Amino acid sequence: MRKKERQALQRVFAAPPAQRKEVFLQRLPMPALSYRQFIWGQMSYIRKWTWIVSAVLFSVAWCSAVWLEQDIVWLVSALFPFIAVSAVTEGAKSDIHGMTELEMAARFSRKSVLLARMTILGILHAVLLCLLVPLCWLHGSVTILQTGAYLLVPYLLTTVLGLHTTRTLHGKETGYICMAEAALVSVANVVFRSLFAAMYLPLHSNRWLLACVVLALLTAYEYRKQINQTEELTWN
Amino acid sequence: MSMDVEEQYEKIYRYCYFRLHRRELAEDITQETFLRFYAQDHYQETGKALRYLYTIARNLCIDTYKKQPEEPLPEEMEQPDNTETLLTDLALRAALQQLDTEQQELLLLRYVNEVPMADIGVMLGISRFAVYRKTNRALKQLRTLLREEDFV
Amino acid sequence: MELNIDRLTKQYKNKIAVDRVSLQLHEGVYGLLGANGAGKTTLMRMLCGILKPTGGTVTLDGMDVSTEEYRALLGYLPQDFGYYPDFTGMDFLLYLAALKGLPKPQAKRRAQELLQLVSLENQAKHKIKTYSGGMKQRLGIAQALLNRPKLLILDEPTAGLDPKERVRFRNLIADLGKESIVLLSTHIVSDIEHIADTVVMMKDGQVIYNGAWDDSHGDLEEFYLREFDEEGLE
Repeated sequence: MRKKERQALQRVFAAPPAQRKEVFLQRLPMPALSYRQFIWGQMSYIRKWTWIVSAVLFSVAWCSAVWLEQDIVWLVSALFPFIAVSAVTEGAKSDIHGMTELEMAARFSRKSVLLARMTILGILHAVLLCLLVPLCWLHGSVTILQTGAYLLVPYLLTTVLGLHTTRTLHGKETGYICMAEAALVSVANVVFRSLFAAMYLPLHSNRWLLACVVLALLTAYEYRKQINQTEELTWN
Repeated sequence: MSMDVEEQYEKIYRYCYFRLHRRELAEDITQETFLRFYAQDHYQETGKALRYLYTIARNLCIDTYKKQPEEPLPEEMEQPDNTETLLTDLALRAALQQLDTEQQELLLLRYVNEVPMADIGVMLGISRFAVYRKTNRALKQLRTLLREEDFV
Repeated sequence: MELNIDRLTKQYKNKIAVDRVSLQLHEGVYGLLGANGAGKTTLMRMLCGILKPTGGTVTLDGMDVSTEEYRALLGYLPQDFGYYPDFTGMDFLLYLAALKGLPKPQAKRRAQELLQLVSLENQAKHKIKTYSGGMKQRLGIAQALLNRPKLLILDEPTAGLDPKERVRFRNLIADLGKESIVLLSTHIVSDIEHIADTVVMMKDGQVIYNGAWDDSHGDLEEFYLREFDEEGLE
């Protein structure tokens, strides 16, 4: 079908312009996007930086563990807090950039948006953890459970601190503060290890697991509070 | 869900106008089609949405037509801006009117509204192959008629 | 369409920002006038579901403000808004369109339509950080219209617009007011005089005047100054 023919047909079949289209479309009860489509759509709004950092961390861990055959638990547990920052600041992004009011007035409540993104990031981090723990354990001197704990504790600590910060502070500097918290945890981790090497003996592994559980609960608590906060502008 | 409602509104309206030859009525039926479409959630995914939409439109047109037979004179078409194509368009229109309604419908659906053949098939209750065959035959006949008039 | 605001109240610990406000709004343009701190922004935020009232209700044709269906019909332009860094004008509109539930192809087309409407089609691909104040404001107006709202709430929409832009804006609003409920707040009395069919005046969280304003009422600006002379015009 040649272009000219098609165009001619379009002209001949053309109808007089529709008069009531705008008004009708305004009132049309269109269905919402499905939740799955919504989450998928939100994925493109998670910063590339997040994916890059995760990929870098993973590659570093892989190279060190598989090729250099180093004990990398310490390296990874020092870097993992920075991964936590990306999830934490997701919630703060709207405030930092002044988009909160606009997002809150939209049809898809900010709550769903935040939940969607946190879910994606949560899954990413869980996957990362599952991949990193075996790698760290490979050449480490401790059990898998301990390895997991040594990675999780700084991560969860950063998350709790970060979530609390983003919930209470709402300025543009929130992002930087969270980054600083991650750095602090990271350094504290290293310092702790050199000062209290004894704490890493199998003898104390239960304490580490307990710490994990406590921090996990705190994380859940902070997280829930942040989600609730998205429903209303609680500050001015 | 990536059906572009605004675009489909225009297309369904064009189709209804072809069937009913009356502007207001065509728009009423178009709106009714969309209301019915969105009243159910079964066919919302893009794959089957279009064929369902057109099926509703077609059935509504048939029912409406039965109740209110065609007016003797169709509405005046607006003056075309392009006088170059004026003559060929007139010839085309005359040629089109010599085809059956079913053939005209196929040409509208396939080449103007660009409805996928599978969907046209479902809409008309024929196989995809039959759509292909009939559309080609309609097009061939149209071209023959136009060549006879010396306007191609 | 009726927006029914019934004894809406917002009380903070030491202050009542909005005090039992009751209004019924229909299609048309309403101008909300009041000094800073009179409660205009608080009222508007409650009408958008952004702030939870401490008393009273807001319903649009029976739909409560807290529902998704209400928000689906709502368009809002806040007094101040930001943007994610590196967003272009088009990115911004597409992002918000997604949040408003518009499917992608529709979002794209609607965004282009609106960019043309506010004369930003040439800057659509440029980053918002390069926009002037007036351009950013026009972008804000565009995003409010993405979902063809039946209820449009604009907080200080003409701030930052030059006189020519302001005239275009007035015409746009007049048009929208034919089919939708438009509530706009402003300090600029001449805006109200030119576009609003009805004037709503607020003072200390209460509505002190609600009605049409024509010449028989005298000069609006004078009235305004008289009523608000303690706080003064901004």
